[in-house]
Amino acid sequence: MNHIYKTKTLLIGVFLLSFTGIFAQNSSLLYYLENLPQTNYTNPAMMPRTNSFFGLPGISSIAFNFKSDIAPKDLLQKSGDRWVHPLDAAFDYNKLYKSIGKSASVNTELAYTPIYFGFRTGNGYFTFSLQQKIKARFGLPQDLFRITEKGFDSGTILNLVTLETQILAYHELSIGYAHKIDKHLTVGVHIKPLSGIAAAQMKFNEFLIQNNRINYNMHIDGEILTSSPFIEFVPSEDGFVKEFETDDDISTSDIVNNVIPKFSNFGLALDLGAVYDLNREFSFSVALNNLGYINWKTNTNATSTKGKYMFTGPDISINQIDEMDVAYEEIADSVMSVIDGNTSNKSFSTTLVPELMLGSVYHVNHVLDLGFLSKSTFAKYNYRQEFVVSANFNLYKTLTTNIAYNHEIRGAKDLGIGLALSAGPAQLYILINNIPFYYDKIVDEEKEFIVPTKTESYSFMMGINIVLGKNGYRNKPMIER
Amino acid sequence: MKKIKLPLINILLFSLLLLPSCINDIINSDNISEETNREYSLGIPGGTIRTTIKDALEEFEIDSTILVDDDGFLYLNYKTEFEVNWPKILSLDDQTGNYSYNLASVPSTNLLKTSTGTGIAIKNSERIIFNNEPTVRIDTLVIKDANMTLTFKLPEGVVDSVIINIPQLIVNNTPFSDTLLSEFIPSPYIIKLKNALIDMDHDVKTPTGFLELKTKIILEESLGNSSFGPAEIAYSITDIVPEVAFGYFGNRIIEDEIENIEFNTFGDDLLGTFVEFKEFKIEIVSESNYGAPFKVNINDIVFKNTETLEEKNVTLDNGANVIIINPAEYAKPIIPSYKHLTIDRNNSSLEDLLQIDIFTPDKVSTHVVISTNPDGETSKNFLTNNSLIKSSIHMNIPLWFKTTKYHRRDTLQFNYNLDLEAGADSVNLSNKLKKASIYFDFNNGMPFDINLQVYFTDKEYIPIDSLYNNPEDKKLIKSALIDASSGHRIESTESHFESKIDNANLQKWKDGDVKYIIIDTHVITDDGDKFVRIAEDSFLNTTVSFSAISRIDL
Repeated sequence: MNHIYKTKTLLIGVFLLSFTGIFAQNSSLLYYLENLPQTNYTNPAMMPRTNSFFGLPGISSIAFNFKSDIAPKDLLQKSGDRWVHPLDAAFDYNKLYKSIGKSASVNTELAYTPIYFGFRTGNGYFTFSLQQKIKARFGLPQDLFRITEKGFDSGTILNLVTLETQILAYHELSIGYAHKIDKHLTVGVHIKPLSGIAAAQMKFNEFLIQNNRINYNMHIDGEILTSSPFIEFVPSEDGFVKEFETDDDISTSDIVNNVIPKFSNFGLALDLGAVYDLNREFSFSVALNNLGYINWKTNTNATSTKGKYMFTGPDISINQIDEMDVAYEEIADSVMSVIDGNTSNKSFSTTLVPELMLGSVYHVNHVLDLGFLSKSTFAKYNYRQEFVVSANFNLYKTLTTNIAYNHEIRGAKDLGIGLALSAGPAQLYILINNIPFYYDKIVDEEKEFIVPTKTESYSFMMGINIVLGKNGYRNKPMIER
Repeated sequence: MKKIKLPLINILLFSLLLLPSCINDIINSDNISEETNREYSLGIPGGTIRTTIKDALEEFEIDSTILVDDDGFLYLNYKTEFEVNWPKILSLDDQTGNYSYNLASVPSTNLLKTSTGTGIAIKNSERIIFNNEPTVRIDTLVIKDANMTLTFKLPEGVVDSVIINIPQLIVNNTPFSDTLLSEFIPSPYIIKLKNALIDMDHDVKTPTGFLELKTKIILEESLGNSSFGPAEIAYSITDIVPEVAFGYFGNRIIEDEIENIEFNTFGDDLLGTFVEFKEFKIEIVSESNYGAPFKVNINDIVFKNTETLEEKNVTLDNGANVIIINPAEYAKPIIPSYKHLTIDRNNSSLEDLLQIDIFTPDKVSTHVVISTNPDGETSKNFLTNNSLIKSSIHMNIPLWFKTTKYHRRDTLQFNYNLDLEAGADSVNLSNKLKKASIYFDFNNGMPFDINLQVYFTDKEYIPIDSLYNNPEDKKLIKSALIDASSGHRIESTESHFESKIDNANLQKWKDGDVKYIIIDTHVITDDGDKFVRIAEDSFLNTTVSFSAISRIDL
């Protein structure tokens, strides 16, 4: 019984862990929250409706996003009257593969904006922001799951090139300008100098393992890169990393020095956008965001591994049969001899994940807008497509709301709600995206859990703005008076 | 402007509150599967075992040296040696003797002039003979080291001095001579014979050669014809280390029983009792750095089976059993002489032994008679301290054989219930394994076919199961392609087998309490019709891999 109890606890634990903080980005919900200046984040051509604004220093906005390709219900499927896990023969891996694509990706992002302001000038609108961002991305190849599905049979080729990890911390300065060309067209751009704080990245250009039964062929070409004053790779004689040295004696001044943007790890990103107002009812928009990179040059460590190796098992003479341990040691030595290792302090670059937004809005009246948004994310090996329909309500002077339905291809279907409350020039806003439609109740002995078992994403954003001249455009007031 | 007064906020908040109540499924932990019954397919490389013929023979732990002939083919070599050295050809015995003088009867004619004036001399001569064999003559003897000791027992106050002469003993190129004054005569008096040359004298009385020890005792002149007790002289030559001797050392007969050569070539360890060899040679290589001719007679080559006590005598054709070895040439260093005798099917009855299925010897012995100077004195002999007559007997068995019957069985311990399904944490493999295969990929560079079967037996060695379904259904590893004329390999051949094991097999092993795996190997040389030769580069590479479909229970 004890064994059974432990197994169940383990399964439920895994199930709940897979739910932990399931997020996506705020941009889809923010896109049509028109009265909020932060809509300019999502499309640089979208002019805030106020003449000027600034985020309350220090708490202008804070956002946290999480997105996973795996929802709890992906790992616990219903089969008849049973719930089956991936090690049960009844588990349907095709459903899992449909959900994760080539790579099961997990993304998190924390963005803090201490400074944000903007103002109108003629037909243009300037914005300026300083953000600190921490992003982490992990990718697990689909082929790893094939091992738990089928094992590793002869003829199998595992392509693990999508195995990746990327953790970036950087400052993002954004200088934005939107210009109204004519009564129909507005274009905008964000020029974003980036200052890298720290980075760690593991990536592969090639990582194949082929099982021919009589041998395993491995082709590997990958590297681990870091840029951090607190980590150093100590190389061994053969070029591989002998050990990772970490600085345990990190002082406050060390941290502060790294928080202030110094642009020693310089990067640059661009957001480009356009809004086309066809008539009073219909408006169309496009934005291509996060076209950029960061060059990491300080405190860099790089270790690369490249080579081809064929594992055939021990290759021994008949007189060595009693010395198999020696034979296996020789295998380990031969792996190291055919795979080149190189450890250096070379600089490297990381790219941001671009997004393409295509939107259209139907202005029903001054109170209600109906929007449609297509959002494409171009992460390597993990292209994602999401569609959002939303209703934006501008109620009275004090409240703006947006309700959005998110439909992600091979992903979650859920709801987002954004609220902006105004009191005088102060504007408090909060966005909660990916509110799930789908819940299950888990009953474990006396305990019950309500779990949104199909939710893969969740995002949260809040902040306070001071809006000045909130009557906005003369022909397009911020709110109905 | 028209105002919309819908209570949307309230609707929104209310709908949010409702959301958690939209429960789709109730997942009771009791309904969550505890099964880990997914079947996994695995392909696993097992590795490659490379077997060269030399490795294999070493594995058999045969008592031979494996040699390669000029054509690159292997042969087994069993070797034994016998030696004839100096002591067996020429003995140089320690020499001892003594003699005495009766001083009372010394005649006055012996009056001599002494160093102190005129005195009475008493002379004596003793022959020292190193070898007493009448047919042996020593002309010259160079002694590397020896001690000659003289001990004098002389009446007190009588002797003036003693004069010693050994004319045949050349020390520092001078015949040995010394005069000892009475008050300085050491006892014993030692003459170091280091690197001394003895140039023997011969006469009718002593044709074998001798040296003379001549002594003169000089008495005090004033003593006149006084009568005294006897004077005694004892001598010895000991610790003789000869360097070289010249002369004629006679017709000496030396007999030797060559120690048994034990070999397991025909025993179970190697080729069993079912192999017919193409060739079997006995090579006798003799080397002499002895300066005399000698003759070796080989008699009675007897092969034995120590278990059955069966013996078979190999007879040699007339004359084939005699080796005449010429004298070595004296030089520095000595130039030895050699003689090589091959005994094979052409000059002996060795062919009878090649039918190994009739008789399987494991020992061989022979009797050797060596005679020096078989034709008398035809040349001057010499013998050095390092002189040896050395003969080595090589029994060479080329790995050139044919067989249809050779079987070899190797037994491995394999306690199925203990090794694979043991204890309380039994993995119950037979319930989990759906099927498995062991793949053998052979690359055979050997000149023979190999049939293979593997048996799983209980503790009484009774087969419970076999790797191939029908115990008689053995798998054939085809021989390499061999050039018929040269016997060399043209190319190796590849054979691939798959041995399937399913849970029925495992259940059978479990129920039958399998304790051993017996690997039965059957060798066939070209359908058994032709002899094949094993070349140095013969090999058999076996690559093993596995596949299995099984559940992996947590």
